[in-house]
Amino acid sequence: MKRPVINLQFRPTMELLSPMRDFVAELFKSHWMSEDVVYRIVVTLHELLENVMKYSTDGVAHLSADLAQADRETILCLRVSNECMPERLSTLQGEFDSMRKGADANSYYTALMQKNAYRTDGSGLGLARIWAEAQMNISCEIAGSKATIVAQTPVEPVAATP
Amino acid sequence: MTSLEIAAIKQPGFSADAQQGAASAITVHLAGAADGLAHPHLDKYLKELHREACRVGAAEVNVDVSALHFINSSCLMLFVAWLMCLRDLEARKQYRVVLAAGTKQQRRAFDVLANVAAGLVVIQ
Repeated sequence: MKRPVINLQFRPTMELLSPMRDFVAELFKSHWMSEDVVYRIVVTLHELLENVMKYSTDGVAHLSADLAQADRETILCLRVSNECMPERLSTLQGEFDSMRKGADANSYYTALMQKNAYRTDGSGLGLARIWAEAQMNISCEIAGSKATIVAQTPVEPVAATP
Repeated sequence: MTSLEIAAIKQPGFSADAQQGAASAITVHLAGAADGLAHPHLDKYLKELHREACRVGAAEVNVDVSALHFINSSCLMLFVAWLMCLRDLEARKQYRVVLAAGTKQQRRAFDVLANVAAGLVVIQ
């Protein structure tokens, strides 16, 4: 199978996110993925890129998408990296610690929605949504001031690579 | 029921429009993408919708999201805030919210609201 790769470095803006969603959807839809998987990818990348816009120190996102074979499964791996302020790295670590302690993705997502209902500085929901609604295995790698969010899921290509 | 007074939203990538129907029901159609660009408009709109639903004594607000092809988490939270306001009303003043999804993905996005505000919202 030919491996689809996205490897982009850019500055996401509100105006760029819509064409970005369309690009990602078309890329994965036309080549390999079911409509449902495409939707999950779009939700994941949108939420991660919005986080870059909010928390990056330089506004630059590095986005990559790749497929790998593992134990007869095809695993889609999405990675979004950006430079962060130290306080954001600490918040991010805290969010992943909370998710790890959560009973399951849907309960955690629902509880977080209720907890953040009156929050005024953003929803604080993006990562939990990726875990619950987009059904991704999500993790965080921190190296110096750079945070990389990794979202992975098994996928089943619906057609042969053109 | 007195007549509904809520201005429609017609933005390039997002629109919202409400009509008053029979039997104390309001129907709202949302279309496009509810993302960061739509957020301030949707925020204002849902607050006005809640005020109007209370003012006209609506028993039900039907929200058709079948033409809404994307919603981000911040806009989803606007629905949560709306439902929390609804939950905080006296029981006799509460109305039912019915969210009509057209696709499996839309249903998945909105399903969580039924857990957040159990008994007040139905996802169809």
